Amino acid sequence: MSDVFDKCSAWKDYRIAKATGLYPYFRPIEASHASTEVEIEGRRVVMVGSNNYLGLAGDPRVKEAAIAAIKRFGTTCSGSRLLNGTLAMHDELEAKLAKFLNREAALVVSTGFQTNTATLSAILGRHDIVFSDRQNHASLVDGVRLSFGEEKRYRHQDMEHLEKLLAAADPDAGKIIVTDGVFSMEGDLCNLPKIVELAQKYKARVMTDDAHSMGVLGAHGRGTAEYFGLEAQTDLAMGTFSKSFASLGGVIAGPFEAVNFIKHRARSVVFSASMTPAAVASVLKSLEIIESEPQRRARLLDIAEKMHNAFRAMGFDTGVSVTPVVPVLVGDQVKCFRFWKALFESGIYTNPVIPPAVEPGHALLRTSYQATHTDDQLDRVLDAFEKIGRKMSIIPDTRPTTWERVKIARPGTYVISNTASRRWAAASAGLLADRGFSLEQISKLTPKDVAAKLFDAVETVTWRAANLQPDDLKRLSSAPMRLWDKRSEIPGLILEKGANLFMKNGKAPEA
Amino acid sequence: MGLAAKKQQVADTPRPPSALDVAVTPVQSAADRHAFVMFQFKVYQGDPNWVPPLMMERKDFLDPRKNPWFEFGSVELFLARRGGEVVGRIAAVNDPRYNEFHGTRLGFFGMFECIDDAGVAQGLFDAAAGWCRAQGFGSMMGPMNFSTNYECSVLVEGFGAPPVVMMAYNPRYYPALYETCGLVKAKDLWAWELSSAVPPPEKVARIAEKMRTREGVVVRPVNMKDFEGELRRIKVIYNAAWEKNWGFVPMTEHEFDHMAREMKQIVVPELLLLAEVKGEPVAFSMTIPDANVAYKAANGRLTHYGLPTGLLRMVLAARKIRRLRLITLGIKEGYRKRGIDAILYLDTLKAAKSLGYTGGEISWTLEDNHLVNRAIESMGGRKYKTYRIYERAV
Repeated sequence: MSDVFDKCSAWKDYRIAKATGLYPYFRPIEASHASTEVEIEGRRVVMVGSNNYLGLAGDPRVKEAAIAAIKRFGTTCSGSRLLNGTLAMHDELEAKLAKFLNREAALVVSTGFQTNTATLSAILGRHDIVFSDRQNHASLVDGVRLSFGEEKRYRHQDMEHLEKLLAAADPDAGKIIVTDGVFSMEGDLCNLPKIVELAQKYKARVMTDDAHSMGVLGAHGRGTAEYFGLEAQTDLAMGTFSKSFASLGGVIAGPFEAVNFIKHRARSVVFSASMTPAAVASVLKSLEIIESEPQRRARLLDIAEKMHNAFRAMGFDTGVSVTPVVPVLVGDQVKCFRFWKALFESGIYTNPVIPPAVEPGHALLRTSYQATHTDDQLDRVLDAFEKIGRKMSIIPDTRPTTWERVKIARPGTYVISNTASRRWAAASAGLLADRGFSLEQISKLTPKDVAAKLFDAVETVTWRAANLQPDDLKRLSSAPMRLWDKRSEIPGLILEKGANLFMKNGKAPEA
Repeated sequence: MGLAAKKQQVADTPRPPSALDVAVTPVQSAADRHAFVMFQFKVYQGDPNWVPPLMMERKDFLDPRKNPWFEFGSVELFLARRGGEVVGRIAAVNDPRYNEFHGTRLGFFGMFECIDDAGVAQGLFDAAAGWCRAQGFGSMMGPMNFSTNYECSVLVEGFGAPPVVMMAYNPRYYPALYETCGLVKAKDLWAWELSSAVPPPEKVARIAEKMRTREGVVVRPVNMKDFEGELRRIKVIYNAAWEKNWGFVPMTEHEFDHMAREMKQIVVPELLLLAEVKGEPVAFSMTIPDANVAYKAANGRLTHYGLPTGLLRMVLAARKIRRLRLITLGIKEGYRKRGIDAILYLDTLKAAKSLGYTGGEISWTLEDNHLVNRAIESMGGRKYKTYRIYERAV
């Protein structure tokens, strides 16, 4: 007889990470200094892992507004919007957001995640088809799962694939294309111009999740649709308040009828307590600042460009991102944890992103920036990345002579993504995964295979020796020195290989 | 029938459908790459004329970190498998320098090896064509591994003899396979045989000597002590002399240095000739011993069962090389039609004879490079192999 808890006791990834001291998640923050630096485990670190893009979470005006709201209305609304949980502030915020986003109506929901589940579960009926990018956020995926609609997923950014799916779908079915505006882990934009074109050709609606772009992209900060000048062609715009808006919650904006329908029919709205007074007031104040202080957006994009280019100059791969989401490719997930830990110990807080959030072999450190980061803080981040990156052989010991400058999604540029390097492309297709042996593979080897591998190794060494160049000799003679310089890395490397082997063998063999 | 009409006709004739039970997939892992390199050994098993390349040399050639060609070019390798067994391979090649140089939108294919099965070949060509189309190319040409500076073309005539160093070789059924799959001839390349036993025609020798004194041509072997300096001089001539040739693309500094480094191990200084007029280097010819004899002895590896037997056999065989390949002869624009080529041929022959070489091959020349072809013929050369480069629309 099986127990539903069996899988919990069999799950060992957590225990491995914890035992090796590499577990990076659920770190409690003990104090915050203007939100650009925080204290964790008594250590003061530069925070480059938050989505507080405009730096408003620590802004005294926003804090003041939240405190005033608590004084007036208390700490919670104690119920759903539908019944007792709507304050005049909620309606005021919805009206202001609708005006800000140039939409007929807007609805605010308690969290961003719920906003997506609410929207999709409500508007997708039994005969509707939703077309979604494979890298869409989990909330969109769950929204579709909660609905009765049929899902067609297209390969990330592959517009040909999307068109194929649209063309093959029942022409009479209701259709909607749902995509992240900015993809949260890799920082590239959706190809909205092409999506809109296809939507018009095949009579489909378009919804963008602007969680990471509202407040950041476009001349007024209205997100991806404004950036591409396609607001009229995008039917539903969704945003979250936990990023640029320094609060918690989400908004869905669009035609009145659609928004009103979601407001009354979405279970995540009707059966959930409404946004707290403090949260609503913070959004109201942040919105005011977003509209009146465009220099914050400009500063943020300046910082993004500086960081992208600086990382690239060191030899890091920041991939396709055109936004203040600056991913740094590491590859192996245990190495990613080690890199994260070393950075943390030298005072930099980043986010390690590992499978299943990204493809196997595509582990990366996601860094993101705030308009309020000082140049000094950014330089400290860069110094630490370069020093540790070299030590861990993530980047070469000398800077590359050539590298491509980043393109940033500034208003009027219409860039979608940067060209992915070969390594990035291979990694994002999951092709860097299977390196090294698992115990299972090793146990399958016959003595003949082992001998063949051994002889091949001899052949390789002989070939290299026969082709030695003066430069190679120089490199070879300095090898012991380099090894000595990196001696502190050796235990970590052994740990990495060991943990990889262990984790591989923990998995069920793939069919 | 004109070439355009011929192409139209070819395009209209139905091609064999690509085999349904064959999967053509891009090379992704190190194991795939190994299979890609090793497939050659299966195709040519038992062919007495085939010269196996060194496995490691091929691997390094395909390694973007080792081969300087990858500094500008890019390649996608494909493997065709039937029931898990490799039955074919092809490389789709993007050489942006070629397209820039010639102002074309042309992709290449290369490294083609295939069992005698038109369905498999069609699948491979379609995969390469698809990749080329995705790069925005209108047609593709090949085989090129990966440009005319390296091995290229298919042998269509003259299967009787083993290939000389850095020349292509393939099973007899390849040309038919290409043509069945809708590829048409783009250009023929010729290889010439010349024996050092037969003295050059008296008349040619006399004219050459006359030119030598009249033009003040001084021919000298390269100075190996000043290898770097000589290399620089040769590079200038090489890139200038071939500029207008069909299919030519200048080598980058790194490519040239890499090639020179590999060549340095086999060259005989007496057969590397530089012609100077008033102290200015204007022409050079490079003749190298046919290292394929040594490669054949090694049978693909330097070591067998962990022992350096291949290496030993190679060293021993290298001492017995008696054939040469005149691989390049280039004259700067403005110094042509003055008999400098004849002088270089004659001096090379003389040097070869005194070093004990019995003869060799001059290759390759373009079928329509009449000036060069006539010159070789007049020296007593005999055309004995024809190679072909094909093309098709993508």
